[in-house]
Amino acid sequence: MKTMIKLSFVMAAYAVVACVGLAVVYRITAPRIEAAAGAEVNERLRVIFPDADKFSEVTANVHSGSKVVAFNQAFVASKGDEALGMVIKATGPTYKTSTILVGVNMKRELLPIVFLENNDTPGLGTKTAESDFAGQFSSKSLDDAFAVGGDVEAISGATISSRGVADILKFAGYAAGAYLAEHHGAPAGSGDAPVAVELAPMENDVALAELFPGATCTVVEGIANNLESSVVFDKTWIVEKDGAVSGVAIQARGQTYKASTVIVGVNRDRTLAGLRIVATGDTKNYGRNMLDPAFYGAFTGKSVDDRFMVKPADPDGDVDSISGATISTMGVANMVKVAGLEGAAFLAASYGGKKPPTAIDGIELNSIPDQE
Amino acid sequence: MKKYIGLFTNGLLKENPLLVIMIGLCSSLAVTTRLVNGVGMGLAMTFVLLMSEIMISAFRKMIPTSIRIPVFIIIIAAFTTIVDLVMKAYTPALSKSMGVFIPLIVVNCIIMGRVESFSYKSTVGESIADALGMGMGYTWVLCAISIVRELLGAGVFLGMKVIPDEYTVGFFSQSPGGFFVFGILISVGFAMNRAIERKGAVK
Amino acid sequence: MNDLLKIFLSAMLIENVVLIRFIALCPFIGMTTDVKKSVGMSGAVLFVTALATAATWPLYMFVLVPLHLEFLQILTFILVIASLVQLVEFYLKKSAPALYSSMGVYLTLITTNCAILAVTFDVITKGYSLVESLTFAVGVASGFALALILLAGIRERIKIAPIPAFLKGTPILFITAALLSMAFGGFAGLIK
Repeated sequence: MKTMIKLSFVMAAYAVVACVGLAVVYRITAPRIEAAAGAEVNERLRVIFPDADKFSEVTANVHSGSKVVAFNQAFVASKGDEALGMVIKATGPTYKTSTILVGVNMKRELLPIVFLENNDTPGLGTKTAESDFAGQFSSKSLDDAFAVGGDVEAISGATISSRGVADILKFAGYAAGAYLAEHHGAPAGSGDAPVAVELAPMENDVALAELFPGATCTVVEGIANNLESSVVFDKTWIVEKDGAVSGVAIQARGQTYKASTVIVGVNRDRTLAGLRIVATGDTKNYGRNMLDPAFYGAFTGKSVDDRFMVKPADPDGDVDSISGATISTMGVANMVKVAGLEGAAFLAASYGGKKPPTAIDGIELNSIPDQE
Repeated sequence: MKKYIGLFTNGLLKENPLLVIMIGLCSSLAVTTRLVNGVGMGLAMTFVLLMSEIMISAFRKMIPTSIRIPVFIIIIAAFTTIVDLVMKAYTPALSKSMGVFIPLIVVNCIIMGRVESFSYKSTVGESIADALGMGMGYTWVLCAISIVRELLGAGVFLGMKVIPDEYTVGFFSQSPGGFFVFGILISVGFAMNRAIERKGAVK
Repeated sequence: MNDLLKIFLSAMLIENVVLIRFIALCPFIGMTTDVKKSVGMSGAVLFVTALATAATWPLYMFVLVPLHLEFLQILTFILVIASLVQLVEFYLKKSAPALYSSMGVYLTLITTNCAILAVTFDVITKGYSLVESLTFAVGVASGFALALILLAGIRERIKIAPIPAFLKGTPILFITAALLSMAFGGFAGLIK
């Protein structure tokens, strides 16, 4: 026993000496290591603006306005007295996270982007750093929409990463463009500041307030669902604005990939005030993307008499499927259709709402394949 | 003095760690895509080997046998960390391109092997000679592999591009090429050793 | 689930630790004289790698980083691995002597196994979560097993094959490895 203790002491002594020695070396080398990392950024800045002779850091004055996209550093590149543009080092969520150097010139165009870090799945999300994808952003106007599927082409199978990168660029581009316009006389942009999309379900009152701004919603009984038994109306409201009933809101629950609960707002003229998602059990990155305003926002203004059939399952469909989540989309479309028609019927019966163009005699719904 | 020279040259060919004893392969092949990487690794490993052998030889009376392996590990790990930090500070580009292989020096069998079988039982002078010999033996093999791979794979020789891209053979820059060149080099090493033995026998 | 599968396949095939990354070559050459030895070594490696990752990941995340002691990573990781191996050996000797006599010898050799240390370092560099790290560790160990068993199988055939004199012995092993490496290179496009 005694020898063991003695041996442990000897070992501990060696370990302590080693650690102390290392701590000393670390203290000596740490500042140089940090400086080396800084020099690397400087080198990269030079690649983006080869003609610049000065990079002034303006990090404190540039904010992303987003909780998810962070601006680590911001520099103004100038040659002599003339500003050539700006570079923002931005980190944001892609599939994991990525850090990108975003360069913007004085003409509200993006310069070729440089990836400093890409933690996504190798062979998939990391492809966003390759020229096939990254190249499409060179000379892109800051005022473009940066919407994947629209002006941005995604990498097949890496939609999340692609979208994440597009978002990072949108925020950094906007902030850089605004800063250059404000401080260096660059032309100002035409669009509004981008808003970070955080996918989260909504509370009822928030949804109602968004669908019917300035109106009062009162719970009623009486809106029956006679069209489809698999969709359940949990709660229904009458919406009153300026003293008159302007529409109804129906909280409907039904099968999507798992199950989801939505609120459908219906106007008296048989148009949808909109769709909001209250809860969903569907898979993250797939069906859960129904929480994206880009998806549910598309239902606003649709007529309740539309077909609500999901493309591409139905080639003539009028609803675009959420990428990789056709079943979820079908479930939501069905709920919207049922709630829309019943809500409109209720309004027509009791509040002088517009009547259907033809009598409704059973409806066509997306057929959701059986789940295991 | 002759003894020291003998120990030194031993590591170069007769008991070359890579070609003959065949230990310490781990960190070796991966870094041989470029000559500068090969040299860097060789020198880094030699440094750790040298310092570890010196330390352990100097303290051999004070390292109890039963805990010698953990103590060896502590010492080797400390010097590996020093090399890692110094490289990160003064040669950051090289450090990045070698990546995880610098920390892997700590498990390089050569160092553990020599320390256990040689310097724990030898004087500091002998240990220095042995470390330098083994280290240089290691380094020259790495350089040989790197030169071949860089020349045939990327067309670069000692920093100058001598073969245009159309004629380079990508095979050599990638993993299969590393194995291949090493295999050939081992057979060359065997042949050289046999030739030296035969010359010695004839004498 | 999808990403874990990608990490696993990536670690096992596309970035095979032995044939593509050149790590753990010593056991690759030394332990492949017959298939049984390879299987034994692979089993030991799988076990220790998973254990080592499970021990070093929290050590880094919850001790070294908060205390700004990242520079002690090399020292602490290797000590943890060495101690783990000792403990496992000790435990095996006591409670499963039969298993110890067949596997024990490999354990001593494992401490200097580059693959294990490489895995523990990689998961930190790649920023994996604990679950992803363990998946990666198992993937790497499986790739290791695959490479070793393949080579051992081939070596048994080489013994009776007509090899030119200057390639006999180790050189032909490396040429074989080169061919295996080329084959594994074909996995590169596996995960789009």
